[in-house]
Amino acid sequence: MPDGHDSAAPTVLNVNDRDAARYMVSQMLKASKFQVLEAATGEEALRQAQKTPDAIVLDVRLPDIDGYEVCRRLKAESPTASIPVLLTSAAFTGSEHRVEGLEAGADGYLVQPFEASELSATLRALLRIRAAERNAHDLANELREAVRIRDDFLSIAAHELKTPLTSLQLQLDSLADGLGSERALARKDKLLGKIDTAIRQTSRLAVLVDDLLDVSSITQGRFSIYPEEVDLERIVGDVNGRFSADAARVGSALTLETPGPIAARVDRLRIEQVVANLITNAIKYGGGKPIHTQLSATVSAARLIVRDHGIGIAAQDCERIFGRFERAVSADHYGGLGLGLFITRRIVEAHGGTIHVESELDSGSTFVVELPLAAAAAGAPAKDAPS
Amino acid sequence: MSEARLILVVDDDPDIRDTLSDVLADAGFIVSTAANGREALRALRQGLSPALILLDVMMPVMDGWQFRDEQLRAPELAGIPVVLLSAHSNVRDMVERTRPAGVLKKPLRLKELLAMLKSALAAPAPDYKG
Repeated sequence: MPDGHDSAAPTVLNVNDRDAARYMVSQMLKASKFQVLEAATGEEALRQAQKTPDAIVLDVRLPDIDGYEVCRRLKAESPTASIPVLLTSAAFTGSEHRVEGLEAGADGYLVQPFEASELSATLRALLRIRAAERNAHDLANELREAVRIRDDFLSIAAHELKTPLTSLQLQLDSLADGLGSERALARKDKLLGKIDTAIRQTSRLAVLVDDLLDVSSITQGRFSIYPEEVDLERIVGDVNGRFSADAARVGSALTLETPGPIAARVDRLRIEQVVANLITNAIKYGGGKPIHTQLSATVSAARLIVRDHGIGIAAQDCERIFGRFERAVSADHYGGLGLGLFITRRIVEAHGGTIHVESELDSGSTFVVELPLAAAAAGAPAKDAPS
Repeated sequence: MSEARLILVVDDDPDIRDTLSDVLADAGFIVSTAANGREALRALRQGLSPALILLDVMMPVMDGWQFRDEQLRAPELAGIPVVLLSAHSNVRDMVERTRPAGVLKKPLRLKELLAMLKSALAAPAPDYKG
């Protein structure tokens, strides 16, 4: 609770200048299991209120400033503005006084003499309302934040999807123009090159769209894995091979170290996705330096390490980057949806495994995945692979 | 058409650089590329003299905005016309700050690209008053 009281009993500030009346109200409060602070003047009340009690019982007649004015001042400033104030009076009991109190911002007005039960029931009602307000406020903040994240993401996603579309569209335009000319037919290899690039762009687009779909199904709790018997060495080797051209284009040498075949029961496509995501990131953020992938295994688990020597990740971001939509780089400088690691971790955890990164800025990153060799044994929501 | 004109393509995406090089070469241009603003500046300062710069906005290391600021500060480089490549729909602040000869929105069509280059290259040296 923001008030800083972590015990169960709410604290009430009891303000009354007459000792006997103040004592009696404090006794009533304690009997009703409230903790009590006291004040005998308006100024002291304002001071004590800075300790943010959960509620204030405030007598109207005070020697220095009257209760209405104290109430107005409490309500004019945070953090006291949100504390429920119950005005009390033995003398000012007419309806006009009650109205003045409520108009001054009081949340209630009790006329003395009152029973202990009426005091405590009224306070509890005010505390319930206050708790509901706080929940609504917190919820509103969460929703605002979620909308902001969504809007940022949409704008980044639009940019990302446009990148492969740009090459794709130009290549196809160029092909269409080219095929119209005789000169083009003599340069078949050039045309094939354009088609290759176009195909590569559609693959990139497909990956982006799949990432969006994955995130959507993960957040809706619809994500499942389909384990089957695989050889992890083969999977890692295949994926690594698929990226050799991309790595070469940025100047990164890809090396692979494996101990031999490793039998495991995992979701083949999803584990390929994990390896692909880690290698893609290494290429993107690797600064053109070597990228090393290493696979090893014990009797029960495999370990996959992907290490690059690029821009690295600040220590405080190493955990955050696995969050949805999180990236450790500025959106003005680096493309990317920020979904890959979120999905990767979800896949690894669905297999009963773990993934973390060790990194420092400018000295590269090392991603470490631990994967049980038998996903089904880890209690993951497993289904048998479709035949 | 007399001699081939040199275009400098600045974009962080390798496929976009390759594709633009390819289609512009087909259209009779000579093409140089750079992956970000800093590489582009380095090439220009080392004597590369393009007739026009095709400039992506969002790039690591030095983005399009920063590149343009630097270019406009250097009197020998400021006169080279720039066409912006942007994936964003809100282009107005971009234009105010960078005062390009034109803006192309991604994804773009080949015809649009060639028409824009033709008009940007034909225009007299801009005086940047507007």
